Amino acid sequence: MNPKFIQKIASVALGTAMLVTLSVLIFIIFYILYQGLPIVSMEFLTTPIRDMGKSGGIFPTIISTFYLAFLSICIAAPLGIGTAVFLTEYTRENTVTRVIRFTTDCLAGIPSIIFGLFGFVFFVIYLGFGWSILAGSLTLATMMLPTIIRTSEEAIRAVPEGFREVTYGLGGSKWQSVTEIVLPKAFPGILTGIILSMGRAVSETAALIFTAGMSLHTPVSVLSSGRSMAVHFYTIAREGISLQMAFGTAAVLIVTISIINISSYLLMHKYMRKYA
Amino acid sequence: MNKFIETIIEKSIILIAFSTVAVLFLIAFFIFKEGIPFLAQYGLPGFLTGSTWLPGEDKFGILPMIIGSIYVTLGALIVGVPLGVGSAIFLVEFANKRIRNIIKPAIELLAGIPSVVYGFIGIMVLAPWVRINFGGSGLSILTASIVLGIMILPTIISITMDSLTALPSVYKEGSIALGATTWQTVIMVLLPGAKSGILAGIILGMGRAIGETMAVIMITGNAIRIPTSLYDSVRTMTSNIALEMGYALGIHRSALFANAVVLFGFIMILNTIAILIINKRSK
Amino acid sequence: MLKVKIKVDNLNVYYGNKQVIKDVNMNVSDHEILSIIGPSKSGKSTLLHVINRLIDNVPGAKVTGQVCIDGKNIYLDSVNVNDLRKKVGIIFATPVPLPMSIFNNLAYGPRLHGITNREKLLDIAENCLRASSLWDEVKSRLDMSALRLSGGQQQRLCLARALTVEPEIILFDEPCSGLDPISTSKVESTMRELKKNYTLILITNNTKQAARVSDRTAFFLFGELIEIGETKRLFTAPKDKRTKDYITGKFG
Repeated sequence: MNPKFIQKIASVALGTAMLVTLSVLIFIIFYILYQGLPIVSMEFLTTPIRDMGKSGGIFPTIISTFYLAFLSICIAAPLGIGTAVFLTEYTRENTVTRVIRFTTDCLAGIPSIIFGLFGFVFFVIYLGFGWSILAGSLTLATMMLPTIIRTSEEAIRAVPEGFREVTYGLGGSKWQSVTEIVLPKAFPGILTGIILSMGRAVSETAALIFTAGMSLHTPVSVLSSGRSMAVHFYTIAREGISLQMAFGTAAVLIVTISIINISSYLLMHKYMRKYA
Repeated sequence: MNKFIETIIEKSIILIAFSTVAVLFLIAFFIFKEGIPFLAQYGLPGFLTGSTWLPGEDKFGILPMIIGSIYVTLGALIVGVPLGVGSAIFLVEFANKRIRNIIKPAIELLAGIPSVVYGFIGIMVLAPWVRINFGGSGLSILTASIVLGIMILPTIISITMDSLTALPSVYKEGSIALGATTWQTVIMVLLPGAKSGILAGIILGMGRAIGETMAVIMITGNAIRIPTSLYDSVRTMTSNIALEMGYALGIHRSALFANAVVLFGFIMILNTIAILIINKRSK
Repeated sequence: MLKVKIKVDNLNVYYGNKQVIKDVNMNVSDHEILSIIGPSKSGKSTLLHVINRLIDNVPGAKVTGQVCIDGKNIYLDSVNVNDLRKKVGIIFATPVPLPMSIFNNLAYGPRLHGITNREKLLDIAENCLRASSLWDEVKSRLDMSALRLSGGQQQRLCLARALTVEPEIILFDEPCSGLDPISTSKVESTMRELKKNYTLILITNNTKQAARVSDRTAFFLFGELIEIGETKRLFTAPKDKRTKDYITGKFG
């Protein structure tokens, strides 16, 4: 057969694969928004859950989600950035860095249900935090570490070596070079990783059901139980409590995730232009 | 700055750097601590090959769940690999830079959509379609395979794209210079060159499929039996844990942790293979 | 004879198994400009990195022998590297302006050492910019990004920045390799000015530049110090044949 003809067929086939992928994405987003957005109102966003989710709003779940995402970032970011600083500034490639990289990669591949079980036995039972925002956030933080480490490491490596030498040349210490120039210049990249991790916290379910619990109330302290938007959505969708409420919650979820993704993308773009 | 403070900072950073090692260790330790005693008592062979799971009668065989996990994972690969690898090849070799710049973030967004939303779409759209066309409840291996196949697309696409773009451009130029078409170049030069990277992407996608929980619970129907057709309902290892953990007590709970140990083993094997392949490439 | 500022005794430097500086002995006097010439990879830059111990950051580097500044061995454990580097400034071949304003580039060093008073920082900035002959060109736009300066201006900014932490010795690692002739001559005249207050070591690939600015010149070849002496003498009557071959352009 004629190679030109095969080329035509191939490009059509590959283009179709691409189109299918893309249309699935577009379909999911439009389907959810089309069905869900009419339900979303100011009242939906600001009133408590009623009748187990049959009516009312989703206010407590928004607050819980926010607490969980915020607290888990507060825990994971220092650890993740610290690890990245160690890997890039305080050591050279050796067995220790290989071990750390290997465990980071492994951690990235562990399913969230395993994290959930671990959080349940360790944070909820062993450390006695109970079903709480704290236990949920700690569990989420352990899941986020790999993403934060990887993106921070990349961002730090992109800072020119010369900036560090300037600091040393002026009598600055290693830690000063890290805090005065390396981290400030790597900040946009690090922030991208943190925002992406926030997305993960917002969309997580399996790791939270057994750690943050399912309370319908607005959490009042880090030791209160609270269900995140995703958990709430799962419950009302799976148990068929209210299709309307489910669509509404899903729409809010999708909008939140889209905002998170788009802002991290824009940030990354701006950052890359600056260094290109 | 004070040398003493500097030393303290350095020591704390070293300590922090071991957080991932500590976390992985703690996860393994606590899951195994809960699961291993049960396995020792019940016996690993009986646990792995037993086909009845009746916690009330102390019968704990997870064979149906293992088979369920394997079926939906294979199904996901059958759906996801051609679409994912095809899309990646299209983006790298056939599409221009502008299209790539639009589609890449869209694919990242696909990765960001919560798995519960995928599961919901599975129930609302896909399951009725399967029910009408193929009979049964619609909550089936087929439904799960399609949904999971879509869910692993981002992983496969991004790793395949990375390994294709990492190939030296002389490969491509050399082939084109000999008069080969783009497609011939892809088949004869690029795919063989990038095959280990693509394989790693597929294995990581497999890991994601086998570990997925919430979407799977929503769309597989969760029946505990060894499936005989594509339209049968199944239960996976992950859904077994998530469904019963909420109320399990005593030996039942230990059995679920043992189930997690088996899942952990599967995942670690897949992860290690993928990491080794990727590390070998980068050398 | 002037006071000895830097004294190098039996210096050997290895990168792994490779010896890059071989048994070097030399003195640098207070308030002189010493040029170091020689083909690339003859150990010139390594010598500078030894003098301010930036070599500590090079993996696998080993230093033996002694380097004394003001009679004190800088490789003793009791020496604070950061204080040493404050005393020994360095200018790199390619100017490295930090991606911030001109003022912040100049305030960067003093801030590292705890000076935060803005008046004082402005004072330091002005003095150092004057010393590096950049003040008149930038005085009205200290808030402009340093990246928008021309190459020659950037290099003089880096010089001014090095001066902000009050060094006594300034090391120049081929500071004019990327500059046009006019910028080069500006940097050179600045160096002659600086001689009054500082000790300068200048590495250059340009033998003419060494002849123009320095009091004494040292010639390095494959890690060995071949010859050191009065610049005029070295260029007119080199004692070693290899020096003669190099300055007449037979190799390098």
